[in-house]
Amino acid sequence: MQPRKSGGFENMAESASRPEEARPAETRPAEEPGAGWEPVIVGFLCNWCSYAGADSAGTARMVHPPNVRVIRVPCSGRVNPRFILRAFQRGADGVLVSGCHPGDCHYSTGNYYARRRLVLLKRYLEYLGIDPRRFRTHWVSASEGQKFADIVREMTAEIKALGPGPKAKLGELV
Amino acid sequence: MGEGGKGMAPGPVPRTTKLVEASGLDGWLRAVAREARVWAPVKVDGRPPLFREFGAGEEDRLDLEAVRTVNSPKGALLPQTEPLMTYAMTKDAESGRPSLDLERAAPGGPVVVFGARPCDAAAFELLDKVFLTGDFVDDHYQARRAKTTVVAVACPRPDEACFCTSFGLSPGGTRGADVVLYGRSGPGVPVETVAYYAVAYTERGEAFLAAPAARAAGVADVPEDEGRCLEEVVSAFRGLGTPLGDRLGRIDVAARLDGLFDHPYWEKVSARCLSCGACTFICPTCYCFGVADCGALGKGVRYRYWDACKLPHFMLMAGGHNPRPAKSNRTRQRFMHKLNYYHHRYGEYQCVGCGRCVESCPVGLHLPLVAGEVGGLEG
Amino acid sequence: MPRKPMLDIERMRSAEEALRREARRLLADGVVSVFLGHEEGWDGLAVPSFATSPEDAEKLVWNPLVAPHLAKYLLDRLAGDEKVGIVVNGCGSLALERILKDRRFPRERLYIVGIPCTGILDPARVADLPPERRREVLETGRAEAGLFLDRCSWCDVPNAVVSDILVGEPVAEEPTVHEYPRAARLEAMSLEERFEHFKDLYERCIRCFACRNVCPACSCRECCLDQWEPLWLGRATSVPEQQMFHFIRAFDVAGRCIRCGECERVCPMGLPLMDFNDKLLKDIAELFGVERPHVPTDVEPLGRFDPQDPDFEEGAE
Repeated sequence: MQPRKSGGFENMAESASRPEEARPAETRPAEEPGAGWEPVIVGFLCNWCSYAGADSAGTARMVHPPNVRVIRVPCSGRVNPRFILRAFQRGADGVLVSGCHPGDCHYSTGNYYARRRLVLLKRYLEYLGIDPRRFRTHWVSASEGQKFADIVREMTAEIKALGPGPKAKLGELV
Repeated sequence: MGEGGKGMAPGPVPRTTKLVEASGLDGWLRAVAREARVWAPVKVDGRPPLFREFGAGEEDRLDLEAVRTVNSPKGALLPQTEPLMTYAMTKDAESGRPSLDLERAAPGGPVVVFGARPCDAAAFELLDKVFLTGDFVDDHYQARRAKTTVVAVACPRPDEACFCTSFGLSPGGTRGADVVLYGRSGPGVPVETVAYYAVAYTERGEAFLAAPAARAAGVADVPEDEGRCLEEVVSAFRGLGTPLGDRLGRIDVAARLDGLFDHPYWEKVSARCLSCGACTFICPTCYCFGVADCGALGKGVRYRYWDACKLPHFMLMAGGHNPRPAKSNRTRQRFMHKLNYYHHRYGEYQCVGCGRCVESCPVGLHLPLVAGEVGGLEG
Repeated sequence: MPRKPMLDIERMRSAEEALRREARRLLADGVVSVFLGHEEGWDGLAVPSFATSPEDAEKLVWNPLVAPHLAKYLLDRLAGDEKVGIVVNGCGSLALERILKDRRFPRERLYIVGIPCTGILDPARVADLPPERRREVLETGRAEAGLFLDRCSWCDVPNAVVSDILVGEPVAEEPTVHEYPRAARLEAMSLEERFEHFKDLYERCIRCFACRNVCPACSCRECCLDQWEPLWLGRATSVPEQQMFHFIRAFDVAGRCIRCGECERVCPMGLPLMDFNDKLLKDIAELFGVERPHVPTDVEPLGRFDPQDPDFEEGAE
């Protein structure tokens, strides 16, 4: 069976469930944010590749917005899908997961498991009613500081335009 | 104590009686919902109604025709999740001394429970015994109860799962209710009810029927020549039997259960239990709860939540010991509590025969089954 | 085309006789210490039965109402090494395979009686019928498709996939193309409509755990939802906590769900819980080329990978 592939990190939202619509609509944010509102993006970065890549963006003085709050994990395979949902529920406006390129995993197979999980999760979160543009997954290697900076810049701009995340509609935990 | 079945004692004295058209009820409730939180049976297409907050959706419609709601109205008095207080750790900017700020959850405004069946209204009195009497009065419950008006609706057609009469209650009972609505055409009539007699038995009920919202909804005096009809209708509802209640008779197993704690029956009957909380959570008289905190970084909320003795971890303690590790322990606990422990403490059974456990238990392990079977056991 | 479920009352009656005979023998000869089956409960519906003597075996039934799955009850019998007897039809055997493939109960301790099946009725729908119609359906077997369990409409396992002895003639298997109309219907809605649909579900859920407790794929010795350390899920029944509950429930069994729908059948609030699981089954089938995602295998889709798996970045291989 032909594996389906979506676009690259230039942000073709993978809307495999309704391929005729590249960007499913979230028409308006739940409430208008005040001026100067900055989105909070939680980023799960694998220690060996993506975290190092983000670090190299910093040491090379590449400029990108500071909106990503990084959570370092040993491997993208460690990311439990419930972390992403919980991040949104606790107020994240966007969530990023990034790991080593397939084939380059420090633990050899962790990111292969992550790939299956994340591809399934992307469709499932959209199914549950969360705008898929808020959840992005990438492969960033230790030397791809520029790629990391580009991702952060784009993602921040897009989510700023989308407005506050799902917590506004979901409410408090208690 | 008995108020149902043939040859029962006369009911309480009505303070006022009015007449209201069924068509005016939705509007009445929407008006009341502007000033109070209204809980009522909300119509759900193709399924039994849910007892929930009414008026939140413009499309909410009252359903008083279904025999019972899937869940009970106990959530109006004892919410499934109830914040008790908030806490916040702060540090003084200069001295650096930490302090803990605690703020009690606000008690909330008035509540109207509209459309409870007489069994559900009686259940409120059973909950009152737990929360309002004894050494410790639950002030959260008390504050909410003091602002609650209960309007019950008499049952025109008890079904095969109803057995309120087994506990001396009745489909036309008034226990726990400030107002009772009786369908003007009496019980058993197979058409939708067009109008109700609304009878207030308490001061609060009287005030509810005299309020502007009631008058705007067309709550009016009963025509003079209907006095006799009203009496007959009320009497007919009070005298209704329930099919299952008639089969079971009066349930009186407390004394017998005293000697059955170690009986192998519990092992046998509990084998098919799924250890879920379905029976407990839809039951109008179950009240066990846990307390937990939800917070991070020194701030949060302390809340209480419904817990169920059927759930495996109900009695799990710090350190890992569980006094009720087996399903037989937990099944025994539930039925002993309702049919023995509560009876010893409060003089009556912790069940109103609403029939929800009969409908909701996926494996048919419900109170009428156990109450019927223990009657035949030898201690 | 989904197969059309049907009842063969005569065949069920002779299967019932054979089942009782077999269970009686197993118990009398001490081959098993308990036999898991069904018996007639309150109101004529079938409830799980645990026969421990040949006399108990007389109460066992096999009729159009034997909907409850039995495999999950094996987890109550983990202690000791006595053998347990169990009767299964096709979907019941999938539940059993789930428990076995997850290595939660030893195969050597089981004596499995398999009964071929062409359909079972939904007890709730039968209970709603007027008494005469109900009697007619149960006696003649003439029942319209809507009275059957949802799982019968897609069933491609009329014969038990694991058994020690088969009662009755096997039913011819028909190749089935699996569709997931529940998921497709929701996919066709807008994002907001879906959100509202699930929000309504979350608000009605009473967190009783009936769905989790009945699920044969949910068999962790300690469920993460019961843990306090770490606290994955609090006890509050707010919309986000309910969303998390159903998310964890569905995603933790993703790839292992047998599509039996028992979760939905036992839910006291009538929540459409298969809306969650059907979507995961559909996507797993599509994304990872799994034709029959509901059939238990030794390693499930999320427990393995293919270097050619679909990716979210171009050129990633």
